[in-house]
Amino acid sequence: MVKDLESLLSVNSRGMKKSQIRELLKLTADPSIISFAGGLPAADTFPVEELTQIINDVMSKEAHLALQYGATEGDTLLRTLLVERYRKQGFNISLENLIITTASQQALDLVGKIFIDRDDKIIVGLPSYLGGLSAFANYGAEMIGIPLDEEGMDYTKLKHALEDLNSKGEKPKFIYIIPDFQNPSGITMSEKRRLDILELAKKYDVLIIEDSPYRELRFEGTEVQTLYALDNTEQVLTLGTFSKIFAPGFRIGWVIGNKEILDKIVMAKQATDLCTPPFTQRIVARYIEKGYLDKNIEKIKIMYREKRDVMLKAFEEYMPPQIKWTCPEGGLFLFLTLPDHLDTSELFIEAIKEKVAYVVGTAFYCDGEGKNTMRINFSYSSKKMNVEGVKRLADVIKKYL
Amino acid sequence: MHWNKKYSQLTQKMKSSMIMDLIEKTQGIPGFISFAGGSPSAETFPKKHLGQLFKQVIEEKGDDILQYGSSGGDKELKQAIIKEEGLSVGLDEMQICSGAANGIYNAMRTLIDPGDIIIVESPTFLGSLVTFEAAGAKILPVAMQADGMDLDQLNDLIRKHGSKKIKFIYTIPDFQNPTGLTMSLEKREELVEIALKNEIFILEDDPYSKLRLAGTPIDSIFEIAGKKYHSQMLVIAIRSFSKLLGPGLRIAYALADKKIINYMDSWLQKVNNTTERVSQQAVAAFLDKGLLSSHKMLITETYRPLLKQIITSLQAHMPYDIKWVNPQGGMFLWLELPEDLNTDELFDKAVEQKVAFLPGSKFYPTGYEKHNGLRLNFTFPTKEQIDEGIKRLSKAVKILMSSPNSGFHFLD
Ligand SMILES: Cc1ncc(COP(=O)(O)O)c(C=O)c1O
Ligand SMILES: Cc1ncc(COP(=O)(O)O)c(C=O)c1O
Repeated sequence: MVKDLESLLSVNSRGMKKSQIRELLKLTADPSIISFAGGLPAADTFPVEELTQIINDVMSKEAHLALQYGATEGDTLLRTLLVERYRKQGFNISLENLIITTASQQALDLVGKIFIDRDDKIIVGLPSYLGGLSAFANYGAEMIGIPLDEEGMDYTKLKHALEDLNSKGEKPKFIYIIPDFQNPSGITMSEKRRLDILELAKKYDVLIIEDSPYRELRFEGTEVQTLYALDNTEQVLTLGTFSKIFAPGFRIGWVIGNKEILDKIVMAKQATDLCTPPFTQRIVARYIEKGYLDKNIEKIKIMYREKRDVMLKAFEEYMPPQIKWTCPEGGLFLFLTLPDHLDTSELFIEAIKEKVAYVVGTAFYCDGEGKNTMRINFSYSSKKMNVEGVKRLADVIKKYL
Repeated sequence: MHWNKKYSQLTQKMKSSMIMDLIEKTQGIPGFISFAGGSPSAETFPKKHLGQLFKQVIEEKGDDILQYGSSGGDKELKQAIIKEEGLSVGLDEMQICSGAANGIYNAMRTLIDPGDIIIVESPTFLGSLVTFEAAGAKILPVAMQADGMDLDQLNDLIRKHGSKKIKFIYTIPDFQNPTGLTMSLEKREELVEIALKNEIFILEDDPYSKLRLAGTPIDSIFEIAGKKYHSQMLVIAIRSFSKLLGPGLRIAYALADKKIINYMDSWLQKVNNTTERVSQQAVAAFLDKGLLSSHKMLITETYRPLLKQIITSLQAHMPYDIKWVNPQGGMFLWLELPEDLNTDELFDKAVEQKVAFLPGSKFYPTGYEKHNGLRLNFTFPTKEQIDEGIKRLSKAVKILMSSPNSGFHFLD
């Protein structure tokens, strides 16, 4: 019998922290809880009918391809369709600039893997997407957090951080940015801020990782160009995913960027899962080809907009005046800031008792701050439940004020 | 921008397998016969059943299964596998992963820090070598014998390097890729004893055991560890549906101690969050409907004549100095040429004859390459192509042997 199994494991595994979101999400499994915690799309956005029809087609006409091993860089048909889509949006790219990944989570892991050595520095937003932070932490990155303002990552603070590093002869490996409807804050980076940051990145020779799962879910306001399209020097890698515009269970995403970097990512991917399932890739490809994707996105936007509106209205109505929240123009999330002395992880237990759940804001702060914040998802629950949930949440908060 | 300076150290050292380049070289040539592939025959994919089941699971539970799922996998599939295979493991002792490749990666991340040692059979599956090297592991080879890895060599290595640094022994006990060889029951037992005594894990990679075409099945290392030694703590078994239902689904599973599975799930969560769920559910339904055993029959009936054919053709056409051990299943057969012949050179000669294989040198860890072996896949070409292909290959071998500096004289 092995006495101490743990001692046989990698240092990396033993040092691994359980994801706090996952642990807390377990508490929200109770169906009577209204959960604003997950990052889930609403199930009624799933195109079940179109899908079954396409599966039929694929299985009767191209099963020999769909069920076989595929290229690590992805299904050429799907890649071609995505490239066309992006070219229409002003991207000057060709097939070699786009590869498929097993959704964006894998892309984040692979980016971490190919760039980060232990103790390398990277720059992230305060707050920033937890799955990204944990993927990078995994490779031993030292994170430098830059606060956000209403236009995105704070320019002056970023500039100082880069200058500071530069004066010490150091250089961060990359800046991790979620420019559109950021997870968790819901904030969108302004065009001016994008241009300014690009300039900084160029000046200090730093790569930008643009993680953009929500970009196409804009309900109002004017679209801002992606960092990738604003740049013309391949200073940027852009990550996309079907998770929020189609279905997360399909696990398909992509990376756009410089061919040389993509080659490295492909090599690293080969050692992770050989290839993303060719079966699901081909289904999504045919789905796009038939024009279903664009139609579905329009449908999703209408639904989520209504849900957000209802939610914002409920906030106005029920939240005490000391509470602040962001008003996102798209995406799935908004962010709540409570008075400084409140700790949302203490509130969480009470909230669960009152049958409402959210994600504790500290999860998104690499520096452990943000104790008085929380992330709220408005896409998953129904409109009615959104209102009811806000009511319950407001009651919990009032108890602590 | 100077990308090269920005990559992590391991990435700067990373290399591609080059196999794709080799295979691409030979694609699209009319009349070309390839033994190079590692893919199952598309004819064996149960596309009709799967087509119906995909449709059914999406219609019935689309709302759930199109969402993110549990990182360890859907419990319906775990339950279906446990029932189908008669396993006595709990749901928390199993992980569903994105193909065996992904399970191997998760197990490796659970155990390996850069510089740790992994012992592998030599030659072994190239994909795993790439995975292990990319993680910065030090890979030490143990020679393959007709009944599995050389355990004396293994013991020597453990003595020399100490059991602390050696994290696991990677083995493909059934119809190994690339050699087609199977480890005997005695060696499996001894291997478990060695692992237990030295507290070294065994990573048992099993994509092929269900493709037995002759002889009697041998218990897996995972089973032996449980039944005979009452401790499965140090065995991680990876089993894949790729060669049964189609690799395009990317569905496989791992069996291990629940602590290990817990860590593997955390790695999976970081690496891709959830294994694709429609396929998980469709495979579960396939098993629940009891379709696997008849489908397995169909596959073995498809492959058995092909194996027979390749053996017959080799016997008929190959020069006397070429050696092989007849596999009892799987997809591959390994030829060994005399030591001073190089199959990388043979490759070009073979392509001239419109036939391809994989040169053996690809299947060894960096620095331990041998050049006189080659891998033949017999499940992709037809019977007629096999006979013609082996004829051509034999001709290429004879041409290589009769080249001035080879020391052999066949065509004089
Ligand atoms: C900013 C961001 N990046 C990446 C992801 C990962 O998504 P997926 O792996 O499903 O593509 C998410 C999911 O919530 C996200 O919010
Ligand atoms: C020994 C071995 N392990 C693993 C794999 C990968 O299998 P999967 O498709 O399940 O990832 C293969 C595929 O050829 C293999 O031969």
